[in-house]
Amino acid sequence: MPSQERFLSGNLALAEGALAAGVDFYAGYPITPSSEIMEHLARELPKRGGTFLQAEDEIASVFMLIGASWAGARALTATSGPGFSLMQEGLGIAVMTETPLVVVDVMRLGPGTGQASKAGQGDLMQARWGRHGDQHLVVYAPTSAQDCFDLAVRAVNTAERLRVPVVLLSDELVAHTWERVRVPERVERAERTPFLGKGPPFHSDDPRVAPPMPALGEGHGVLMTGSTHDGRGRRFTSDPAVHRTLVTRLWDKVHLHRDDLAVVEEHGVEGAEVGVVAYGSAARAALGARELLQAEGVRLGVVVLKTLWPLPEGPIRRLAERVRAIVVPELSLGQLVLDVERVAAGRCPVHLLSKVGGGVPLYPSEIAAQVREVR
Amino acid sequence: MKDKPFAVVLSGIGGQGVLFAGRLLARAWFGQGREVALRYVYGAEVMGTAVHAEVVAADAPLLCPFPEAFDAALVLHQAALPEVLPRLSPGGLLLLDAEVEVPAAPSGVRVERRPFVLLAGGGPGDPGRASPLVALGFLARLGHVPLEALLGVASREPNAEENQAFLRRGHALE
Repeated sequence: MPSQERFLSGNLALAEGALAAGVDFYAGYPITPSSEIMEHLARELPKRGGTFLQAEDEIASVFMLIGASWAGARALTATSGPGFSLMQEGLGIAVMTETPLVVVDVMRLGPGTGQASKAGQGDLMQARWGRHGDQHLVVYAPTSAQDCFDLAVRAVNTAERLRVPVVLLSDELVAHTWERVRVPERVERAERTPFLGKGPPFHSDDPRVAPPMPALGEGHGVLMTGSTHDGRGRRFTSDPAVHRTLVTRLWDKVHLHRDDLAVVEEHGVEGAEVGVVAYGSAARAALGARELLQAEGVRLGVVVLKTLWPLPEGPIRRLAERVRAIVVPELSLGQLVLDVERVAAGRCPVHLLSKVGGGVPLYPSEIAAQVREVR
Repeated sequence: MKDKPFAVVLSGIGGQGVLFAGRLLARAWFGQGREVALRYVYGAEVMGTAVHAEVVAADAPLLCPFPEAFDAALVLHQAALPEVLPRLSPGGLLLLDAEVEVPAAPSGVRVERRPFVLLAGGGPGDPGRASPLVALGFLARLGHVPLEALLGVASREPNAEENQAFLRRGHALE
């Protein structure tokens, strides 16, 4: 596939990826460090026949996405910590109504308004579990501007294919770092299964297959509700069986696809004596640390997670079986480390390398020092 | 044997054009086929606080684009200096505007002072908009980036002729 090499920031690459994937609706409210995504799409979408709306706040934004998606649009918004908190209600409704949409959260330091222009990785658990109730969505995390492009395409396609909201969890360092990006002429676009007037729009005999989705204005009489509903969309607010059937199917729809949703890089895992599991900007430092340590004869294996939910457990388990210890570098007080500990399940010690405050990146030398210590 | 990556930081305060100049430098190196990473660093998004543009160029893909130390620093305002000094590599180059005072340069660092703000037309109270372009021109004179490459990328930006004149002014400095 022919491609063009461009010099883009993570945020610009992500916006370009969204356009390549066919995003034609954006509603959002500007917030550092995500605003360049909104600015770029405000310029570009109208030129391409798409719709751009500046909403009154983030709650409105995500609900506008739900409406647009049900009208047939490919919808995306971008925000950061405080805005992401406001969007949780709408994300829960999107899970329940099986609405394809993408929310980009460019992480900064919180809680509250925190340090607005500084990088953090403290939203991981919120991205996964921020809504009430039993629910499952998909979370991807880019490590570079190239990932921002590629995972934006993947996020839109996953949302459409599974009828599920997808969170693209970037961080300020990835968002504001400019690098070489190979932009292909065309990308693959997954389409949601259209509703042809037959069968239930909220049920599928195979839980791995998303039900066909009607579009508003096509003339189908469809009920849509955030309350518990049966396959036809009728509310059942007290029937235990209907609720269990629905939330189990919604959970399975994502969970049974965990292998093909997994985007993972494994570097030098075979023969490694120490391991690192990382995501986002911390993963770049981990790869730098691997290069530093190679020169000293230290064999470091690095697992880079670009899908954070459903968590790709296999690569973490394989690493834990091979190494003396695992280091988990995070720009937070430690969230991914909890999962790595759970998956490693005592096969080897797991150490958190936490750096938080001021948005200072994790550096390769810091990870290398921790690796030497636990080796 | 590839050369090791070369990391530069352009530093000043909001409103001077530090980020724009950082982008010009990064695009100039990128246009020469080098692997480049550019990162903007700023605090509160208000005029007058310290702003940095960190640029790294290498001949091989950059595994980690976040430089721990800089081989060269161009500092256009006193407010930005404290964040730069601790990260200068031994043997590095510290290019200062003539008005910036450095209490004690890190050992082994070469310090050069030039009137970048003055040459950018900055009068009393004027932070010297475009002074980063004058400093970039001087960096080109020192051989770290071809002037023609900077002029080329500047030609594709708004106010091209004016910006190119600032770059040439810095390049003409002794």
